[in-house]
Amino acid sequence: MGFVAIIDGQKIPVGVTTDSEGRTVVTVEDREYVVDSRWTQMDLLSLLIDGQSYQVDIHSEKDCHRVLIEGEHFDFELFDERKTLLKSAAGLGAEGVQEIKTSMPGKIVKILVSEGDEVQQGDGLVIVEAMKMENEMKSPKAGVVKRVGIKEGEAVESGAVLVVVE
Amino acid sequence: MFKKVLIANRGEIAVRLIRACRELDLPAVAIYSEADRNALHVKCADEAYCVGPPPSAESYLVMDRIIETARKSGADAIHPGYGFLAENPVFAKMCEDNGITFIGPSPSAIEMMGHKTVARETMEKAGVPVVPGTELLDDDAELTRQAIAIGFPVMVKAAAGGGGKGMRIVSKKKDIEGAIRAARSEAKSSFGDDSVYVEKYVEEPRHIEFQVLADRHGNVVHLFERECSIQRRHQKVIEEAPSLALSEDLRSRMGKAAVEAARAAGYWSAGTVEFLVDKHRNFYFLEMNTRLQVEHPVTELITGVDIAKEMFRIASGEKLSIEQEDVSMNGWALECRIYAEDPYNNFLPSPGVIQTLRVPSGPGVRDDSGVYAGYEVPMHYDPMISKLCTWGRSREEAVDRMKRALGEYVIKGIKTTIPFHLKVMNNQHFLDGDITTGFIGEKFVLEPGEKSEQLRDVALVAAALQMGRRKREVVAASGPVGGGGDAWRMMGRRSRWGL
Repeated sequence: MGFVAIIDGQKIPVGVTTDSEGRTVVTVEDREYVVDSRWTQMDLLSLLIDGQSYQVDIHSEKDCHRVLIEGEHFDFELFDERKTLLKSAAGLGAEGVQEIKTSMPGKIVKILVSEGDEVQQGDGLVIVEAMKMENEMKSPKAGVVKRVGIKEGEAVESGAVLVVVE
Repeated sequence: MFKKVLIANRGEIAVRLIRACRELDLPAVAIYSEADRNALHVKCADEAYCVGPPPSAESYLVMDRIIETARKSGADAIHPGYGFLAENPVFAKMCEDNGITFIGPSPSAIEMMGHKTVARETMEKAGVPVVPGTELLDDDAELTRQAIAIGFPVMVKAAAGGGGKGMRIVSKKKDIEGAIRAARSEAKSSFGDDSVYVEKYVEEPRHIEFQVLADRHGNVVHLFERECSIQRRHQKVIEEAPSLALSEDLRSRMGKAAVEAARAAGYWSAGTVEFLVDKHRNFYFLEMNTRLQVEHPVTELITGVDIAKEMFRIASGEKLSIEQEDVSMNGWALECRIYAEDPYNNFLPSPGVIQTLRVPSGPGVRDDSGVYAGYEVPMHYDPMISKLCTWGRSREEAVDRMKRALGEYVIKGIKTTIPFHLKVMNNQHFLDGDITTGFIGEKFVLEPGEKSEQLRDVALVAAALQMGRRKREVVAASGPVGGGGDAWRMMGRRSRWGL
């Protein structure tokens, strides 16, 4: 199976094959890893690579993966090669439309942007109160605010789309 | 001693106090809200009673219902833990009036120390140095005027505050009015009291506090200091004892001041005298916390004194089991507060079900937790789920153990601050002891570590295997795919396929 990873704006080819002895071989660019893997629990992976033992905590949503290994954190997208060909025109990575959602129910304390505003990556968009703390939702990318889907003072459910940035 | 004790709290601290009850052979009564039926403290206790719906204002803060529960269950004492009713003099008084012992200080001591301005005056009279500040003022305009007179930067603080809530630093004149308004509204929603005051913000401060224990017979001891400078949004996240900042001489002067402070307040029970220490090693009385602190385990680790059990004994009228000469420090202890928050997404709270939990153990490790695998962290309360502490003969050993223990800690299903703590443990400023309350903002970034590049490939390998697994699942699953939430069956499928 062939994949393309988009990590920090870089495209990296990743391939998975099985060798003649039935071992799993994963290639990352031109680097080859013979991998022994066990899913120990939900989304918890034990990897042995060249005798090195790694405990990998992986959280995936569609093509987006968040991986934690030895306290190091990685955020990237991994696409099926074929999908990549289809998507190449639309662009990959944190390009295109980004929906900013809440991860839990809360209350909208303040909206910091209006539709049409230009924002930079990391700019605050909305302040949401949840679990007794005020939290600022930040823009994952530079772009223009396409839509603000909520009002100040409104209560929102988990997964509600607050703002759309393009 | 008491016949039975009601623990008027939830989470890890309720579990901690139930443990103390067990060791003292005291039956423990838990209370819980409708959101907490499955909480660990309910399972640990001998008896448990529901006190209302999820919001704390309708359950953990409803005083008469809690008193009523104590009476019905035959509890003759109530330990309030921290937060909730721990520093509410009305509740302490209500206990007293109902013939129930409040395991904490007297209502008058709580009231005196809770009134920050009265506390300051009391300390000034007792010769303990204080930070310049205003009184509680309802008039925003007058408060603004006085804030300007003190000179920026200043700190706006809620009278009933704690845990960083209702607190704002203001460094520019134009921001002061907005900050006062915001602090008032946050204080109103968190504590039901919108009184705020302003005080001088001490620059490059270290937050150092002294643990005191006092009995009802006039005996007071201190159990040395805790360094609590590593804070996020004015909320402590890492604490240690002792502090690198104190010389033997300064430690003994501050310890004496802490004991004086407790005496001046007519204090009994466990309490904490908080000081700010500036870069010239001047110390100022900040406030006295009239409760058991979150971070009490680090003091327990270096002194060997079980502070929670001492509180029970003191409340029942016993004399302190120790004198000042008996208290000595041994080694070094650290505490990392593990929050259900996502450090890689602006520390957003991350409630949800804990699917996998692997708790660190081994030499010098203590984990005070309020959760278990399968437990759902509710969104109604503070997101702290456990406190991981390590002890070592030296600071270096304690840090090494903390790194090791954090590495062992696995919590899946929700995001936690464990990776954040690992980064702090590897931060050179932290290792050098170069820490102030501005550490997180000024000297720390969540940047990749040395091995990051090598581990990146491992991460990609993992993701590729994950994608492959998912594909096979889609192919193999007959009938409804996913969504069923039967984790065991899912896991069965996964393990059968292996990889």
